[in-house]
Amino acid sequence: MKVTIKEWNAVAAWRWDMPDDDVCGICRNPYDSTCSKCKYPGDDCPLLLGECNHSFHMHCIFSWLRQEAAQEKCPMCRQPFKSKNQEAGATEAETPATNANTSPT
Amino acid sequence: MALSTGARTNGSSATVAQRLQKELMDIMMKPTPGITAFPDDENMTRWTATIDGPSSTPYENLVFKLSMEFGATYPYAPPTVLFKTPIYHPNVDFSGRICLDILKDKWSAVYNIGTVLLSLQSLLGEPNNSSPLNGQAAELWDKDMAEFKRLVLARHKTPEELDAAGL
Amino acid sequence: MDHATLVFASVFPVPSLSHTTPTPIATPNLGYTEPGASFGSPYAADAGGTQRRTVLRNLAWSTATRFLSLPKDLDKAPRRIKRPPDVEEALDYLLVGEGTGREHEEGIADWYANEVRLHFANHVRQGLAEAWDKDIELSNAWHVLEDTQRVLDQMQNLYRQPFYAHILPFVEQAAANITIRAGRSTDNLEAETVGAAKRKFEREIHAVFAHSLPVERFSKTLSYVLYDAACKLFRLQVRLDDVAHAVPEHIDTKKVRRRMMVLLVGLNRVGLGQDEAQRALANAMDKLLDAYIASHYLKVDWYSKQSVTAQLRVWIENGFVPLAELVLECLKCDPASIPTLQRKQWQEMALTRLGRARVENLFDFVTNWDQSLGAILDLKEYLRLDGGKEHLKGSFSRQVSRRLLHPGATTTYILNVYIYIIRAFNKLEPKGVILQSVARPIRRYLKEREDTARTIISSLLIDLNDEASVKAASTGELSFEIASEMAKPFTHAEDADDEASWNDLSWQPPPYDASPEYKKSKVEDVIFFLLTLWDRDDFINELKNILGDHLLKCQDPEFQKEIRLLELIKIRLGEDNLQACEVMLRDVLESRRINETIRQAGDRPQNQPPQTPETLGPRTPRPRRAAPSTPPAKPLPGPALNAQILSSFFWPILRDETFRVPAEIESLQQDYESRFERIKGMRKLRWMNALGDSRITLEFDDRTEEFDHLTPWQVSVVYAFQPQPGEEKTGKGKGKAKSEGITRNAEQLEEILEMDETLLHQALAFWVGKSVLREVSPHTYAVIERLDSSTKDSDAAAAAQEIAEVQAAQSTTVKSQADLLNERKDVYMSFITGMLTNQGNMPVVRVLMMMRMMVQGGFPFGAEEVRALLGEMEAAGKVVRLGGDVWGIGK
Repeated sequence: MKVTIKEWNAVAAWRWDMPDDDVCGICRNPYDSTCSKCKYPGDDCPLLLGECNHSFHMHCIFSWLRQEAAQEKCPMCRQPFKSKNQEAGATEAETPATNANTSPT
Repeated sequence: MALSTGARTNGSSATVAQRLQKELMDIMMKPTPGITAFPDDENMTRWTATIDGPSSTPYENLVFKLSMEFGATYPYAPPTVLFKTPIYHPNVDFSGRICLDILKDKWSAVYNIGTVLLSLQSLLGEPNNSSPLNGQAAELWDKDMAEFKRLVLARHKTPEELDAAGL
Repeated sequence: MDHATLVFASVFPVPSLSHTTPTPIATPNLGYTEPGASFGSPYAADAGGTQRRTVLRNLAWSTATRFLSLPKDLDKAPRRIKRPPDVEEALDYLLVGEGTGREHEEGIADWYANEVRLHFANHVRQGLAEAWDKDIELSNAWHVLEDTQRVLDQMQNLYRQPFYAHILPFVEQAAANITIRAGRSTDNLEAETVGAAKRKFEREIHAVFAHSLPVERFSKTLSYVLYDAACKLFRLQVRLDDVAHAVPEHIDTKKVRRRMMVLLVGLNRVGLGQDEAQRALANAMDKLLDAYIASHYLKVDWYSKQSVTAQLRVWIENGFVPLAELVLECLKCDPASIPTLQRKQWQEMALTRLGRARVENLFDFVTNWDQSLGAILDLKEYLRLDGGKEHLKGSFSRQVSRRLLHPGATTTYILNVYIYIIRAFNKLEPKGVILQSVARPIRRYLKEREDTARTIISSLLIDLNDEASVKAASTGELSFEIASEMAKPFTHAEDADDEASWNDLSWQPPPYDASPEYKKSKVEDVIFFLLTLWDRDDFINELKNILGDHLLKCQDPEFQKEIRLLELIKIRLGEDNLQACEVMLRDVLESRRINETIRQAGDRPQNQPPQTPETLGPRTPRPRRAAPSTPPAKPLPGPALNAQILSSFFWPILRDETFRVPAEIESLQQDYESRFERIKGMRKLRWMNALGDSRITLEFDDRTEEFDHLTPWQVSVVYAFQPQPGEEKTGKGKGKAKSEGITRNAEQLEEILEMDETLLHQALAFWVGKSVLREVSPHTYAVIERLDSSTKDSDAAAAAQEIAEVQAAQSTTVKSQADLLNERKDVYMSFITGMLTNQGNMPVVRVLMMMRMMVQGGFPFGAEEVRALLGEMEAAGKVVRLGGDVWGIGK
């Protein structure tokens, strides 16, 4: 007998490449969830990894850095915060809104 | 029909409330010895907390009540913390105001209620005598510990006494 | 007169019995001497003035009574018009002159009345008694009454004649005498006196007549007669003891009416038209009302969907009340003087009857919505009457609990009926107060059923255009009604009802009997009621689970219904806590796009052969590959790997069994993974092999079969039956029939596939059922390369098929929620401890409130559970009870 697989519809779950069950220090939401202000995770609410190796939701760390008192320091270690990676999902560089027009119906 | 936008429609107060609720769950799930805290009402912006005086300090075996108030910009701004129990301490004034760096310029968004209370607890054992709010206390700490301790006990009121006085 | 009466009369003088009979003429009446007076001639002494009068009176009395006495056959006796002179004198003396009755003396008029009485009792009553002593047959009723009336009428005339002819003139004369002296208006006083005498006499006769008939029976008979007449007049079927008698075709209503009027007038003439008659009338009208309503209005008009109350009113106005008035007129009774006969009250009474009858059938009306609109409109009017609301509420609640809320009714049925009730009651009472009270037990019952949430949400997701799901709905598992509610366009809730009411000119205060939590929001429709069966957060939790399951199984690539459902819930219940659902929905929508992107990223390198090997990837199992330079648009000949990418945090706990998938798939997966991680920085993929589906083709020696919608583990299992490199097709052992292929046993499979036993067996059963594998010995299976149809095989196959299907049906993608209270007991207890330490002593209700608000994930319990927790903590010494319901920290 010969088995030929014609189609395989799989299901996979994505998560951020962080230690499991960790939370963003600022909003206390898990990394895999969103920051407190966002609805959709992933590209719309990415993570930022600092050179000091501390990660936060992008929106959370931006809000922090906007504060004068912060002096652009990482809230964990008080080193100046510089983002190590490019923002996640930059390669796609498409917002969901524009995509709605281009995706096949 | 398109999906709704990526922003949530809740206001900033809801974000604060959400974070505070998470903090509450954390405190309940993993309590730290010597420290408790609970919100005053469903609003969650005002909390009452207690800390136990650390052992081997003049404050050992005493329990202190504090009030914490969280503004709309928490955790980007620190909460307002006051001692409700009268306390004799170099860095606390007569109306309960506290002089602690992490509650002012050294605040960080990753601090939470637990860390604040722990810091306060350490403050009890290690006052900062170089910038005191209560000069007399600062002096006595270095010079006459026995007298210091007497004054601490004299000023202290237990939570029950506080309740009875309506505080 | 019976013996007892006689004895009585001998001691105590009874006026009616001391009826004097005329003294025979032969005996002279010489008078008598007073006791103690001396004997002597009655004419001698003057102190015998009284005596003289007595004697004279007695004489006159005799004369008169002799004249006036009534013979036995009164009807046959000749009338005496002329009075002989001695009678004239006697009567004059008795009525005008000195002989007029003084205080203790009987007047001649009275005597005559007595005489009438006696006569009647002795001679007439007998005849009547015959007719009236036994129950009167209803068919005879008319006749009996008419006969009786005739007899009485006749007697009355006969009795009257002497009175009018011989007594009244003297009374008139006597009156005239008085008035000459007084000088008042003569005519009036005369007439008055005469009239008074007449009336008195008549009253006495009528009293006699009335007493001669048994009151009850008379009333009943008359009542029947009236009822019968009315029925005929309105062309109703006469109902006697619930047996309807047919209406004769030709009824001359005029004749009936005339006959009735004649009878009534006649009865009134003989004095039978008073209280009993009125009571009889009331009785008859009552029965008539019932009969009329029953015959004309009870049957609901299922087609015209209109209310019948207007017609009922008209009938009352134009038929019923005039009839009553007519009867009363005949009875010489002023209708207006009797307050109970006002039109309005009759109408109300009729409506009440109608309403009550309708209420009894309300449950059927509701389930037959909306054909029954007419009946509902009737009830709307009924509700306006006193007590209508209460009656309806009570009766309907009883009907509901008896016919709906029992274990024999499926959840879908209950939901459907609930929806009918909502719709019907919206029409019945737009304010919704009754609905709220009636719905409470239904809602409570629905909450207790386990499958309610699932049924509702799944029904909301039915696509009415999709035949398969409509079929599923009609089999009773899903509610068609809910689906059609969902299909209606939404009304958007106007925010802030309070503000709206300032500008709303038609605003009205809530009804007086509304409960405290009553709030008329503008979008309280069926969907709203369904969605609010549970606490919001509990419902959303349930929704999350069901939605997760559903989205993974759903066929619709656009997920229109799901999007719509989510929008609906957001509008009705607000947006909080719905983030998970929204993310899930977006995941499945986005998956398609992401999938395309990733596959394109992989396909492009494929068409350029000089690419680095890694991008080509391990694509070796592609036997029948087309020419290398195929444009990317053409579908690839090998297996297509599509993936739905989920955001792990937001989905409910999905089934997560791990096992090994076929090698080619594994490599495809790895490839996919690497491409994904390249495109989306910082992310990792985790394959959930227990989810998803697949389509394969099986080639046997003698046939080729295609299978679709297989679960991954099924494919893995059957894949494992392919020959490994170096394995021969004919398997182990000689003498094996050529129809058998590779064999494996369960142990082997478990090892190779690293698969859970349950899954393995389910897959094996499935393939056996499809005649692909056969169990050759316990736990050992072989491929059926050649299908010889031996019955043993087909039996086994059928049995296995059944098992497999059952097992497959049971597999859901979501694990069920465990019992919360016990699981999280510790969390709750530490909550309570924290609460009491920092906030001081608290009563249970406050604790409950705090718990509901603070606990993440909700606190779906009540005060009882809180008390139980506190009790446990008290036993452990952590809290103390401080009296009342207040608790505090233990020391």
